[in-house]
Amino acid sequence: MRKNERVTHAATGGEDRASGLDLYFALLAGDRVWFEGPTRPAPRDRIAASSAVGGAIGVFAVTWVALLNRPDFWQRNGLADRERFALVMALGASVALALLSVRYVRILLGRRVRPARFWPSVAARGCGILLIAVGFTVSVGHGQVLGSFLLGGMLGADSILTLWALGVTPKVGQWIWQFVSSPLHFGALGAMLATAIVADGASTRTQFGLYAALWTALGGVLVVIHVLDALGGHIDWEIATRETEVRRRERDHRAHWLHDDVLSEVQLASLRISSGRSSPEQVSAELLELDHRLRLRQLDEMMRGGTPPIYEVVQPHLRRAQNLGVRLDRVPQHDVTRLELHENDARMMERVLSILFSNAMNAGATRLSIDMELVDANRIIEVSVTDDAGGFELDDVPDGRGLRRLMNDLGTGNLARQAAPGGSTLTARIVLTTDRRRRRRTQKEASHA
Amino acid sequence: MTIISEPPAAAPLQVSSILLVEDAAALAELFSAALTARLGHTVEVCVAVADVELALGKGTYDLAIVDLSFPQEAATGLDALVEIHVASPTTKLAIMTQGDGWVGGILRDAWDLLPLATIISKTAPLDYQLAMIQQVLDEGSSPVDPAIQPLIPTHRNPVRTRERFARLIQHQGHAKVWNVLMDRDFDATYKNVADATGLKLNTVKNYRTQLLPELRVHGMDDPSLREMQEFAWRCRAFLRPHVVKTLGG
Repeated sequence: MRKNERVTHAATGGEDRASGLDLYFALLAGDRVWFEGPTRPAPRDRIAASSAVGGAIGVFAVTWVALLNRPDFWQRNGLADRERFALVMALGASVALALLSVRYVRILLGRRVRPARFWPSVAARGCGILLIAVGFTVSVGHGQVLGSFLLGGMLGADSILTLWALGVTPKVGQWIWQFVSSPLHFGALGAMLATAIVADGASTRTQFGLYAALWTALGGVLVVIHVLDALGGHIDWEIATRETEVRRRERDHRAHWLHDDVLSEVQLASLRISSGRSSPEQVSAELLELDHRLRLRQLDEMMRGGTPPIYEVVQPHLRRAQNLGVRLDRVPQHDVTRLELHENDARMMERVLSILFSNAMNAGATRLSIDMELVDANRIIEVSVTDDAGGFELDDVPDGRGLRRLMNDLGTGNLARQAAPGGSTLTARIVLTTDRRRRRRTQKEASHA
Repeated sequence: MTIISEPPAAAPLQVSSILLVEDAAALAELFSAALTARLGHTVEVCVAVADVELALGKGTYDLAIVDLSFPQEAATGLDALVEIHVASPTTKLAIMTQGDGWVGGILRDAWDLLPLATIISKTAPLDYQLAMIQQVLDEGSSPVDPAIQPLIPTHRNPVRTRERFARLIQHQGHAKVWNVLMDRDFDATYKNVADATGLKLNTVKNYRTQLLPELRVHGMDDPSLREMQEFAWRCRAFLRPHVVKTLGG
């Protein structure tokens, strides 16, 4: 049962089997269909999106420059039917380009979107791409090669986004061969040959022009896929290298700290036991204190550039209190502690907990209750620590004490004391980092909880 | 907020048999010695999840205390807990864990899906741990250690049950997808899942979309394939029987 093995079963076949066209439909559907969860676009996605936007702008420019420079376009007695048709198609292609580019711009802006449905997306994008191709072909006379390459480039950048989302490794050479040997290619060749035999020279030239444009566009697609994939791989490699370097530095730092601090303290404890200068209780207390510092250190690493959930921040303090024989009457519940905090907020909460716990335990508390609550539309988190260690006045806390410094750092009115039966409740209000997207997520999580 | 009561003082009334599943051999030895010396119970120790089957063959236990993390094995404490519960439903189940965030997912799964008698923190004082264990043996359960409480929901999710896993496998196509996702070493991309299952890319996507409402019951909101894989690996003890039944493996 527990083995990491798959269940072997007979192949079922039937209508679910993948066909050769599966990947092409997936490409036509676009990357938004394969988008999963609330992930942000990776740097390589943004580069591909900017290439697609560049290609779209290029196609738009070539289409309109070529259209407006057609010899028959500026006739005194209005547009001929052919020119009017070209104008309408160019307008349609421009609208389709703009609509397709919305996705690329959203990637560039780092916006999250809901995934699209497969067949509607295939239909919409298929019509759009067809409209662009026809509009471009009808409108452009001169500049066909340049325009085709740009159109191919845009489609290539679009395709690589989908290929990455699917986890497909591009095989450019194989795809060229597949195209050359495909019925589509043989159909185009056959049509061209037939035209050359039966039609006049102008039609044959048009056919050859279209065939050249087809190859140029295909070249654009494949070149851009190849270049972006290589670039994406390079970016991934650079990021991985940087992460490895950071990890190596942290490892060295940790090893140094382990050697200088932890191991020397363990050695000291061992010597004290063997020399009989410390009681087992004293050594045990020292090791528990070391354990607490190790946990804080672990938390510090987690907070560095990360978004730790509240339970990670609160745990070392709960454990320490427990080890010091303090009874925990109430602890924060998972519906609050599951929320992830920005690094700055996590550090502030860690400091608040550290000072409030120390304050209570230094005053001789034997029982603690810890409460947390999100208030003010989840913009503020209130942390309360109630003890049974008698009373005191916040105003009497001398300068230089942790509690006084915390009062100053939290701001006026964000640290308050209330009398509780046999002790007091200290409440700190932590104003969470303003980040619209993060707050929305926090609100969503809170409502789910 | 829940009021956490203080565990009673340890006072053994009768000898009970305890199964301790803990991979840190020295810790297991010391802890089992304390259980025997201080509470007078008999303890069978397993230092690997793989040994649980053998231990269950030796007899029945009043209580099983199981660690969650077994880094040297392709198994977790959840696998051991399910195995014990299936073999001996009357055995009370307790988890003893460090309660670090990275076992949080397994802890919450176990909390929701198994009749846990308590969760003990490994870092709690020994007297406190022993008192919790004695309370479980005497009264059937003990409040969860306060240091662990922030990691788990206050109340169990009533709609999330072991039987409910059947709804994640509505037909053979779903079973094929879960079958590959239960493999932790599998690179879970649409292409790879489609290749491994023989399904169309669009079909894999549709299956994922079909499962989203049911996955929400398990606490996942619009998970990626990789998150589904993590869930499938964690909960394979509950998923696998349904996969086997559907695929007829």
